[in-house]
Amino acid sequence: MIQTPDLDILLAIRQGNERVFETVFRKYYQSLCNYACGILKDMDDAEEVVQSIFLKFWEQRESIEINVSLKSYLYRAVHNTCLNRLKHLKIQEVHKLYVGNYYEENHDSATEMMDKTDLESRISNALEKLPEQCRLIFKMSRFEELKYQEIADILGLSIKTIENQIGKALKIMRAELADYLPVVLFLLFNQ
Amino acid sequence: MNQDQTIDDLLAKYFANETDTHEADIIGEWIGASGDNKKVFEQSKVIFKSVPSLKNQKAVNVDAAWKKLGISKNNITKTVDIQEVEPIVKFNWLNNFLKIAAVLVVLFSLWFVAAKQFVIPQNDVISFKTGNASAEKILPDGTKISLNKNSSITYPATFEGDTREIKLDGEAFFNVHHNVAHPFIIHTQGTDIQVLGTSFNVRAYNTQVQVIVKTGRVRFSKNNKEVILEKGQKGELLANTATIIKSEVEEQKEITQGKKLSFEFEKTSLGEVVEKLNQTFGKKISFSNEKIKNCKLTASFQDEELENIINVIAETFGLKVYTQKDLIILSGEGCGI
Repeated sequence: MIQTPDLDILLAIRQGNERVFETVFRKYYQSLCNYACGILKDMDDAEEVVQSIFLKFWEQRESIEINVSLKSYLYRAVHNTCLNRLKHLKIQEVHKLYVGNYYEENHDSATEMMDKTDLESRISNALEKLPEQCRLIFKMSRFEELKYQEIADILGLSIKTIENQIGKALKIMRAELADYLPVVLFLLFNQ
Repeated sequence: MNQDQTIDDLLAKYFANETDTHEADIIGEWIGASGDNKKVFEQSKVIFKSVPSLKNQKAVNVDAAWKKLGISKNNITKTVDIQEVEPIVKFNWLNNFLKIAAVLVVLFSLWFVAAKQFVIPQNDVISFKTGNASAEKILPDGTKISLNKNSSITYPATFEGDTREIKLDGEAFFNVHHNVAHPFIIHTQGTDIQVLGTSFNVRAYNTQVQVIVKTGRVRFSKNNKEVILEKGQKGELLANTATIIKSEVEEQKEITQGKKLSFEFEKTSLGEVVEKLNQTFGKKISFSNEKIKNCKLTASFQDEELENIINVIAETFGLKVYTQKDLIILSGEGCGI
């Protein structure tokens, strides 16, 4: 799966080329933080996770083995670290769970909803109706613009599963929005 | 379609730009099969196009984060530089200059390498040319084109910008995917044909261009001159002039006449033959028995009705034909491999 430009970049990093490393960092930092924030629901936590991964990457650059694309590798590392952190959180006090829930609710707060158009808030609601795994994969495709192969590499699933899950997401969302979509279509085509 | 692949899987793949041409063809065919299918397609499109805008992107401070990592030692070097005594400054200036030059070289080569790897080629131009047989093509926007023999079209891999523009040489029948926001423009022999979702035929060999409209409205122009053509009207550009003559088409029949069909089969399996026929005629021809697919057909058809083609096939392999609306079933014993 690994492609030559990635190999060049990896080689440069392995030889301690800071500039190349910085370029990689700058290229992926924002999107990795967004991705982590989607799981952790907190941007500060997300930044911490992503920074720790880059730091570890740099420190272990000489021994690191990557058999997927660099992008998939970074996302996978972020994904796993976030899940570990969540697990850790769950073991901690109920209080923390309450905080977790608080963030989740805060996430779609009333003011935020007001900024969204009617269509967006309906789609957002439909998105929340998806089963967890299905929603995650769908978001990875639509929010992070990851290719099917990349999602498969990150989650360690087959590309077929990704295909099925995103198809399933589409099906469920269409059903959820069934009453609303014809109106939208009517508006879109009669502008 | 694979057995465990639903149409939703395929649609999702299509909107995520993951389909191969075979899958895109299946979708094109499926959309064309019924109004309901088209509706589902449009609905899915709205979902896919709207979802990314929900992304809750909080901008992070990348510069600060990079500094926090403390990998780059440049900051420390800089402060040391300032404290150095005069004579060394010159040397450092050169040193810095070299550093900057080195960085630029690295960044440039990185950009060069990365541009190939990470940036999706958006301006890729696809050319499609027919030889002795006509062919069907579905464009990235869902527009269906039946390209006549010895004709060619050129179009971008993805339509960017406000308009969808393609080039045509020769003759083609267009069924343009409806999209008010992005007019569809065909450039051919110095003329522009602009449409908003409609079907029509364009014949443009040499410098003579003819447009016949089946449904909708078309703006046909050269330089500053233009005519608006409506359903059942014909516009003709006289060779080597900018004069466009507008006339009514006598019979609706003439409109589809442009869609000349020819098929050449040489030891082609019936499975493939039927796939081709289904694609071209928009019917559903199937078999009562999988073995029939193995039969190898060698024949050529010029502007034949589907019925005649089917009869020739049935005659050749001793098959019976059952027809019910769009569904045609061939039954019989079939052939071994």
